[in-house]
Amino acid sequence: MTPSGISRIPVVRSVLLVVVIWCAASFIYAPIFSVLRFAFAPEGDIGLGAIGELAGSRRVRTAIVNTLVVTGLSVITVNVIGIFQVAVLEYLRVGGRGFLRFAYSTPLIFVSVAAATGYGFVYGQTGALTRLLQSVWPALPNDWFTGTLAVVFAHTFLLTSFHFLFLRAAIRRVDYSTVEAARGLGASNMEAFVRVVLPVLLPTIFATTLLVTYKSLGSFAIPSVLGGRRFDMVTELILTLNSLRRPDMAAMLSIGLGLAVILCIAAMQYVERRGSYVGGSKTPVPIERISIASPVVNLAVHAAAYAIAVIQLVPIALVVLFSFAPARSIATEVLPTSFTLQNYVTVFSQSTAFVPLKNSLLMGASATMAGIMISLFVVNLAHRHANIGTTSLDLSFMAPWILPAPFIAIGLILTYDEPNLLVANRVLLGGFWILPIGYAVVSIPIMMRFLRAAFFSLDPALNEAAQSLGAPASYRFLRVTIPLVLPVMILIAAMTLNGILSEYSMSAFLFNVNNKPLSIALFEGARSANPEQAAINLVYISLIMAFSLGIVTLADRYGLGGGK
Amino acid sequence: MIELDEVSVRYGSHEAVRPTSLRIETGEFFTLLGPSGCGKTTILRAIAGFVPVASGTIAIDGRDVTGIPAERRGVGMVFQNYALFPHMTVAENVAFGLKVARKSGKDISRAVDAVLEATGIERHGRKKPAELSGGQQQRVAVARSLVMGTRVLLFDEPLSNLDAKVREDMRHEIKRLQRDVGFTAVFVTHDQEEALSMSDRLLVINAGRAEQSGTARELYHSPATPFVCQFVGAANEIGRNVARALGLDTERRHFVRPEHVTLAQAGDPDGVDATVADVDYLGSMTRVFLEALGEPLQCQVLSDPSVDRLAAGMSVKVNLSRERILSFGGPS
Repeated sequence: MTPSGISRIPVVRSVLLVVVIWCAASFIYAPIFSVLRFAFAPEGDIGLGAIGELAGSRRVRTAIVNTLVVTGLSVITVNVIGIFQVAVLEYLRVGGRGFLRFAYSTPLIFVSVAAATGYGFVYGQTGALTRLLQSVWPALPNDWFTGTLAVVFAHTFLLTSFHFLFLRAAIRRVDYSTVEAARGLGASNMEAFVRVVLPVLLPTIFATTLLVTYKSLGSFAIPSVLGGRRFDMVTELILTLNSLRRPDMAAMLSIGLGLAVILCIAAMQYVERRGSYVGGSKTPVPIERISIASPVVNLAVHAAAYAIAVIQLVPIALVVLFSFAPARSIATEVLPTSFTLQNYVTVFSQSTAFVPLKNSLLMGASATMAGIMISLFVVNLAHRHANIGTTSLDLSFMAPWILPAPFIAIGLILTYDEPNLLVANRVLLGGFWILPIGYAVVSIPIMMRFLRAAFFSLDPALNEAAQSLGAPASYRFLRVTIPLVLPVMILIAAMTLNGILSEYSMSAFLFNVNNKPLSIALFEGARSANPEQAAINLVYISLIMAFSLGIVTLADRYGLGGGK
Repeated sequence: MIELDEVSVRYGSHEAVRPTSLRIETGEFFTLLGPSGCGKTTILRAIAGFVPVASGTIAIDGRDVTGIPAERRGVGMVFQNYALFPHMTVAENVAFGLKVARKSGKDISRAVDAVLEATGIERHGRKKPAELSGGQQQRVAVARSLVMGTRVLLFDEPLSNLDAKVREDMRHEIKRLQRDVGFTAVFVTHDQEEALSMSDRLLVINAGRAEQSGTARELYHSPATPFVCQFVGAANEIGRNVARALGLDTERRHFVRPEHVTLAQAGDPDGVDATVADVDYLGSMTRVFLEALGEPLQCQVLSDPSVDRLAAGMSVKVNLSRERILSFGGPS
């Protein structure tokens, strides 16, 4: 770096600070303010009319009931399957553990609208499994897989990723010597599990339950794709109300959803603070898997473990297989009999098929870049200068973490559907950039959490060592801090881009003809009866899964939340 | 030369270092010794410029550096964990400061080679820090500062992460480098053996206050305070019963080193009656834990067959060398 380069740094930093504050004001505070204004004072006078109208609408009441029923059922079914999976992988001696681990890890790569479309492809009206089931049971209606059943079923097998990540990590932290101690004091294996292991796991089970609740309350892609035309959940209804030009009701409903989500997050943080049991042992013994003594129980456990694996793998396998099959075979064959690369060629050569992929990559890359820059700046500032100003800035960008995506999306719509001084009197709604802005806003909190952890894990002595060797602050930041957090930055960027490729909640609210993303193309394709469109969808899903698989493998290798 | 004039450091309302004055001569090996949390590292960090002083001044070679940021003090520091940059090779770590100073590539290469050779790590220049042993990492940390031509090197408990054998070797290595290169070393440790064996002079610190400075022998044989007496080397505090039996002033505190307590013959009229409570065999030496007139007392004697026969519960007589008793407080 040149001497003039060093002297320019404070100026650059000041300019960046102004830009970052403008971002917070324009894309976080202004949208929040708009939602509150439209919810409580749509005509200028403060009132609660929107609540009355929402309460009086049968469709709204049904959507709320649907959301609560789906959430309640999902919490039970996801916990049953998730805890069983963790027990099979970590506590019980079950054969084929590697295969089961692979199968149970698929919810990490088969997510959101891609997974919903995949389930629709397999279980839907023309799905391979529907045809297979109809060959055994001809009376089965074509649309058997719809409504609450379909949504809860998909939730059950797609939301177990929290158990796979967090509950497995928790059970691995259990000191097996405590189990041995219990057995030495006369407890059976089962008693030791119930009295020693389970109490240690309960806080994590509760935390994962809250995560499932949080995800289920805000579920959007799955009910939209699998719920059917007469099935609404709250998020879908917010979108509908907005498109029916009732922004006041949409805003009020998004506030209600936001409050429910905030409640979940507050409860999770309470559990996180209170519910960890730290063993006092300096040499904890890793958990050992136990053999099931009863042959009957052993057989039943194996059967259930493999049945779950098959349920989770079949949609993925069929999606990948049919992505290589001629389009005409999609609605006619249970398994493809011939293979071709034509579907992939179509996606990459036909502009209508390629544009959503290109849009998603472009918007994802822009949002990721902007998010990383803002997160890096804010986290570094708050790390080096802890004061009210930097803490406020830090909290401002963390705010979207406790607000559901529809809340932010409605806020952006209400703020930028007319010329706004904050963006030089331009209308952002209907343009290309409104969606990447939304992506960035909802991605920044998670980026900041990871970056903050990376900054706090840095040995402060490194910075001091560089300082004692004469390096000024900017040099230390560029040559010591950045290289050390770079692997985390690259991983976060890749994970964010991966998430954006199949992001549905923000996309459904903010997309338009200029920026139609992959997730919307998938959604539209799922509703199309055209086999060519279905084939393109399968290629999209396969590409998203391949990308996700790469990211998950990378994250697992570098210890960012994955787990073997 | 480093001079601290009434330097104090505060963390909020807590006074981590009370006003302390200190003068460290050029080329001296000076150690700050004290228990954990006494403020010794804080003094070191104040000299380095990492913590601001609440009052007083710090001067290095006659230049007041009190308000000068760390990067412009020209003081090298070796950290407890060495703080080697993990993403750089050994040579890049050593070259870091020279690059900051914008030396030419040729000068950097020449200086790095020379200092790597001087510190005995010339074969490891291309390795990353994680590939080195603790002792080698230590050398890189020293080399990184020495290459800058630093005349003052601060060591923050640099031997605490090494195993016993390497620690012993590194003590001699650091002393050799300091002697050969001639830099002024300020060394922080809580290990009295380390401090006594390496230092030209020491400062003993307790609860943020300087207790006594001097050579190792001065501190050991002529401690100024009961704390120094007990912290530098082992010492028995003589209880009231034994003090009375020896005719000592019971209003004062009296100490005696374990090696100055000897086992006496059974009929020795000057001996004090004691019972053996426990015996620790230490190889060449044996430590005997006694109860003399109902008060604990330790003695350390050369291991020999007569000592080997001692066992818990045996009655013995012990002698305390009057001229070796260290007394504090009240009129002498």
